[in-house]
Amino acid sequence: MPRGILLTSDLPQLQNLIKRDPVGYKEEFLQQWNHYNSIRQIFQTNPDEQAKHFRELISFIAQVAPCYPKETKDFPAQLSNLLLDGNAVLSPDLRKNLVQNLVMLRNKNAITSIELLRTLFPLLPRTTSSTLRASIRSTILSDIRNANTPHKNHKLNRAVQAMLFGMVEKGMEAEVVGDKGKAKAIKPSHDGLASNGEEAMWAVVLTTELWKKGIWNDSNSVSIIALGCFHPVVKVQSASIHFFLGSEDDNEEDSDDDDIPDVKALQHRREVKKKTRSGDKKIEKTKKAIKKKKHRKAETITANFPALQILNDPQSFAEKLYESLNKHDKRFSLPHKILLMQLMSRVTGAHKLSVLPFYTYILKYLTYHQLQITSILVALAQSVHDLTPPDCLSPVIRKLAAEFVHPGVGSEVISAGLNAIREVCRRQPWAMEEDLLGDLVEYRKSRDKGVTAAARGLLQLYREVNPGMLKRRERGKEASKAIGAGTQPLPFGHSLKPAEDIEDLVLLEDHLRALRREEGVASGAGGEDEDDWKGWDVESDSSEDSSDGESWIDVDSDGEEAFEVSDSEDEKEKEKKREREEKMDVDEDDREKEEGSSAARVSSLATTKILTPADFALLNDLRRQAASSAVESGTGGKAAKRKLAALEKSKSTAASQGNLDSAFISELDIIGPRKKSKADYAERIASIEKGREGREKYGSMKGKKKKETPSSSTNREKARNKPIMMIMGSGKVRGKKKASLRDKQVKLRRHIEKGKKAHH
Amino acid sequence: MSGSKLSVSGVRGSVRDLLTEATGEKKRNFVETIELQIGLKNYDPQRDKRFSGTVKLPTVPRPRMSICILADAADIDRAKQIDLEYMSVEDLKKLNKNKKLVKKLAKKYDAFLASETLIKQIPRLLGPGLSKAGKFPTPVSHAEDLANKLTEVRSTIKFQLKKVLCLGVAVGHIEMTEDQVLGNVMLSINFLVSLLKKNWQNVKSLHIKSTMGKPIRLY
Repeated sequence: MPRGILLTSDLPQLQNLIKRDPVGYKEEFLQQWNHYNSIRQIFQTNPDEQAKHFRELISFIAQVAPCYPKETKDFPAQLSNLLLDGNAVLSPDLRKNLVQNLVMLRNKNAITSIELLRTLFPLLPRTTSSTLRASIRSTILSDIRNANTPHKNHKLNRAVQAMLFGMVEKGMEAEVVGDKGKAKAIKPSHDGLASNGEEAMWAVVLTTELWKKGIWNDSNSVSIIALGCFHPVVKVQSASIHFFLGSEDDNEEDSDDDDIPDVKALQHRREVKKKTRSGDKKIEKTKKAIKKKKHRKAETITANFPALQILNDPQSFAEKLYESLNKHDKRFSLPHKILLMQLMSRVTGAHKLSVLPFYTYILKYLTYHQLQITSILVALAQSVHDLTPPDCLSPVIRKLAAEFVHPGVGSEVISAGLNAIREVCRRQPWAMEEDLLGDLVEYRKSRDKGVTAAARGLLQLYREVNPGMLKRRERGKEASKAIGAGTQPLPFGHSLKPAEDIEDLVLLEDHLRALRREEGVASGAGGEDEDDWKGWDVESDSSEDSSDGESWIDVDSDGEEAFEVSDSEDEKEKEKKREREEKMDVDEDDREKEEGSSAARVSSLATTKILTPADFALLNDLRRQAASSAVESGTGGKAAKRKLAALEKSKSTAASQGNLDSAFISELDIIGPRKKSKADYAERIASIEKGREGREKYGSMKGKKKKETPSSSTNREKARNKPIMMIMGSGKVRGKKKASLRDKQVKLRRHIEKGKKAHH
Repeated sequence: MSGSKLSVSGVRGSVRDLLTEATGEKKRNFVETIELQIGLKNYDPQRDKRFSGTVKLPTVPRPRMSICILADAADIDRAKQIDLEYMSVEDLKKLNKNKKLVKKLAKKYDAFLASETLIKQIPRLLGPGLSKAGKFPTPVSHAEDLANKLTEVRSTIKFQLKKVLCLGVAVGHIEMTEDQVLGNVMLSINFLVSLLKKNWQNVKSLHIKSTMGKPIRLY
């Protein structure tokens, strides 16, 4: 059969034909299928024989497999078996080929993504070629991402997460291998442990990546990495801890912003360029794409809880972290121990846990000559919260004061110590003792700027939270007044009194009442007919001060969904409401008379009306006004100024950093402001050299740049360009002028003679 | 949209509906609680400030809330007088910081009080179990009247965001009058909105719901 002969030798040709007519060429396919099976048998005994032909056959079958799903049912499984079993004997080419074909089968939906991932995950730590690894990694990521758009594929996610969890868990029983000292030298002898470490590492890396991309954001993925924090291999541990500390996720976000094109520029280009219909369409398309992208961004934001918050059972997590820190204290290197401390302290701070032995453990590190002491101080301060028992903190504070704050150490040490004490006490003010505080506060008279600032910060803190601990003359005006009025500091364990209404709502109420009263006077107190009220409505609409349905308008205008302006509120309802408010007004006036001007007045506004966006805007304005008036009158002192500044700031920056700043402190907070020291010779020279970079050398450009070939100027040139005044002043010219009449005649005669001779 | 704005009369209507349904033919054999459920939007828990706030409502929303006092000797006597359940220091020591027992204790009661003298030892005695459940005891000094403190605790509600972008608080029960429920609902809505950074722009939805009834959308 000529047809068959032709086709067996030319697989691409056959592939093409089969794709057009699968039924007609079934026999040829079966022939190749059998051939493939027999070669596969041979391959298992002798891999090198016919390797190229085997590769070609595999690609061919993978291509046409979707046409004969029944016959090739086992084909994907065979491929993955080949990959996973005989991984060592496979040649790199064949391995690559197998992976590619598996991915293709997935793309053609011949296998599910779970099957694919089940093969690819174990492959990652085993392959030696980095290009193949990279391609597998990107395949895995894109496959999971595709499965999760537009909706989350919980089934797949759960399966994959279980697989990753298993990968991390596999190596957990092994002995912890430290990264310091003798233990470091003892490498794991059998390769089983090493590969486990690799596997776990890949699991952590992939989970981190999926988390960063926002594809996974549930507690399962967090628990995979939480488990990774206790993996015996230090590398895995540190990768997991870095995930929680979130040290490198900032630059990821920025890259996403860049690919959004600028609409305005596009529109401008549209005006300039030739006008075609396709151009219009293109602009519409990009606009839509941008809108979609923005929408998606907003959606991803909504469910984006920080990993620390959705940790499962944070208390035992923190306790285990502490245990591993304490147990392997000698084995881990200092940077790794600091990482552990940082994570543990963040967890304790965020969830208000108590891991009390940590405070005795950390004592031994609190010496000023300890390496990386600022990071340790940061970890210490972060771990404290308002439910940390003060009695276990006070030894820490005492040690800090004794080690860092004494005249025998440098000023930067003192300021670091004071700042650390301040940060601890900000979170738990009762950790401080009275006489110690007195001593520390004395440092505000130091000559070093950093030390003064730190001591003042501490003083300021205690003026606010517990002025009773300060000496009388250090309390300041405000605090003394407060003590005089009998306000007590918040004892340990007390939360703030439950609010009875919204802060400063009284201001709004007063304002509204004043407004109404004014209006009443203007329209005549007696005549309250419909027209008057309409006028009131209109006026208030224009000034945006109204308190009824009319003011449901978008005030901030930075959200895309504005509240609709509606005028359809029926009059009756309005009237009813107004009546009620009137009544309330009268009631309150009466009550006020009874009570006099009591300090803590409870506004009933919050229980009788729904505050609108306009009301909130107004309230903010009123707050600001009140604060600024307090500053101007000077009654509030510095506290009032600070409040005003805070309000102004919140007005100007809509998206402030929020609580993260106060929860996590940086090393800079501990180091404090530092005076810039004088530069030494090397630094000065370096800065001079830097200044010289890229500038032309000073000096004349004469004869260097303007000619084709750079050379110095000739004497002729110099003579020609000589300033006339110099020539006039030169001896040569002056001598000619001053010469006697006889000399001049001799010269002239000679000149004439010369001229005559030259002519002939 | 079920309404881009919220009016007092609308809320009043919803409250009335809810009360009539709950006290009507489907009346259950217990006093149903009325809950306010809030959905948030445009809120990035990673970046925005975590808000939490407590507010005291004008009428007690949960009169039957079970409270336990962790008491010293003097407070035990006072608790006995008003039939308040109590635990002494010895009882607490018996728990032996056992996590399961502490959790059980935290589950058993809705809120805790503690004598001022004891409050410092609580974290040592019980570990973080109570604060994890959001039930860290409220301190009571000997000078304060226990009964008053109880009503104060019972009428206080707490807004705290956990792992999801929605929250629910009990604002009343169906035996309260319409005006009382309305007052509570409005105060809680206003207070919550004042806590949010962008006020109403952060609110996705508001529902009220009785324990067994259907949720009614307010906003």
